[in-house]
Amino acid sequence: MSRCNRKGLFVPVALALGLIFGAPQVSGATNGTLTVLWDANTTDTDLNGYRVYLSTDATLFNLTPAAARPLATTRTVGTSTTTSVFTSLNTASTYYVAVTSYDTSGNESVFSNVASAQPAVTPTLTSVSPTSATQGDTGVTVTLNGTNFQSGAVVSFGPGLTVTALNTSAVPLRLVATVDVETTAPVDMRDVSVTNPGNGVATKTNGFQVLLDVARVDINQSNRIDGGDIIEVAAAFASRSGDASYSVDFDLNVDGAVDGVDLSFLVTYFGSVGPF
Amino acid sequence: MQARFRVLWMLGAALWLAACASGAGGSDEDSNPLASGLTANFVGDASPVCPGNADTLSLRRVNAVGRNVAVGIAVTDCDASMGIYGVVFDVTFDPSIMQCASSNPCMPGTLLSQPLLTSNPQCTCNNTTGEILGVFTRKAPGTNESVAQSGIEDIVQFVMRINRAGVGRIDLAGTGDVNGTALVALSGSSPSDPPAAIAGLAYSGGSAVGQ
Repeated sequence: MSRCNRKGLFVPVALALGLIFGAPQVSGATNGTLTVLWDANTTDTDLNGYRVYLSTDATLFNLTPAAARPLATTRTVGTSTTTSVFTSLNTASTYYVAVTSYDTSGNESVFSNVASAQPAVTPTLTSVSPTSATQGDTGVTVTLNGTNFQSGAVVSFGPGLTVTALNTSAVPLRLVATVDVETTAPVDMRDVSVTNPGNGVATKTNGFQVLLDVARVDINQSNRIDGGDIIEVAAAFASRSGDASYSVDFDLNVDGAVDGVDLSFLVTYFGSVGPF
Repeated sequence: MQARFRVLWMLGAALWLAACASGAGGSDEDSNPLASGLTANFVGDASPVCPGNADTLSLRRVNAVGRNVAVGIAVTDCDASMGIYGVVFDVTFDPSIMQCASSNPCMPGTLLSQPLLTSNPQCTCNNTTGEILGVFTRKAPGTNESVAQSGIEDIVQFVMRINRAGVGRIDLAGTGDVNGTALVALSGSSPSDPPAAIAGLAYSGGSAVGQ
């Protein structure tokens, strides 16, 4: 016996409604997508399907499903489906979504919880300036130019770099990040990514470079990069993170291994005299 | 007679001009009276004697070819007691007499064997101040090397080029210090056991001679 038969009303079981944002291939500020996910109804034996309600009016969900149905965008799906994607939504609007389930007799449950989100806007990231910073730098102002940036976007430069502030006053075309670079941030090229609130992501491959802090090459802090420093690295040569002989002090590019790359840094700066 | 004299005079003038033209086509080096005909040599300050003397790190002549002289940084171990991992060196020289033969004038000696950290010593030469900084080690965690009792072996060699006649010093600077000149031993494989200079060595340099 189903709950709707027992109570005359279909009890909602799809209470966990999650939203994720749409696929990044959607382009243009007015072409947003919204992906709706919900938990399956596993208790009702006569379950016949789900009905997804979409609206920009949150108060609609104070009504009964039957009353809200003509006012909302609705979609019915079968019992084996627990996801639905809405496309071509207005990216400037906040949408509210709830799901009901209905049985073979046509009884419909009350609304699930109501989730809300803005449709995804896929940004583009065309340039990053400056394109590098040095280990240990703090308060570096980095300007990111592109399109479709949104307030609330998150900027990432990869491990060892922290965005301490993000100025979004020039969205959708520009973000200005303030970045701190850890002294042991890996020395390498970075992919810079901008993630809008709806998970639309833009990535600039190798868009930023972390440069070696030359002071780190003066390992024994003698104020001269010389044989003493190479000897120090040599003693830990071929060690890897976790080895007894490994220390990040010798791993100049912070890639987890003391190897020829670190040695090449020493050779490059060999003979340099500080202060660094 | 006058005509014959005039012909001879013209012939002589032509030969003189030809000689001048030939001279003008020579190298700057050859036209430099300070460098022309120079030959180089090196004389070490001390010849280590074993037994009974301290172990040494000294400079000695390897060979000399024309204006170039190869100098060895030589190690003696009178009792074969040293475990040698590598060498760091800070060599000072008189730049008014000599220059490094190349930007990295260093070559491996005979003491250190494979595996090496670098196939050649890493050196940098400052011909203005007259200083060579260098390092040459085995590849960690390789074992230390040793010199046979009373033996002498070069751990590194470097080539200097004499640029004028005279005598110029070549010395090991900052001796006994891994940021200066020292033989180095590894006491362990942990960062808390850093490489250390081998104590108790006697150091000596020498004089390069251009003549």
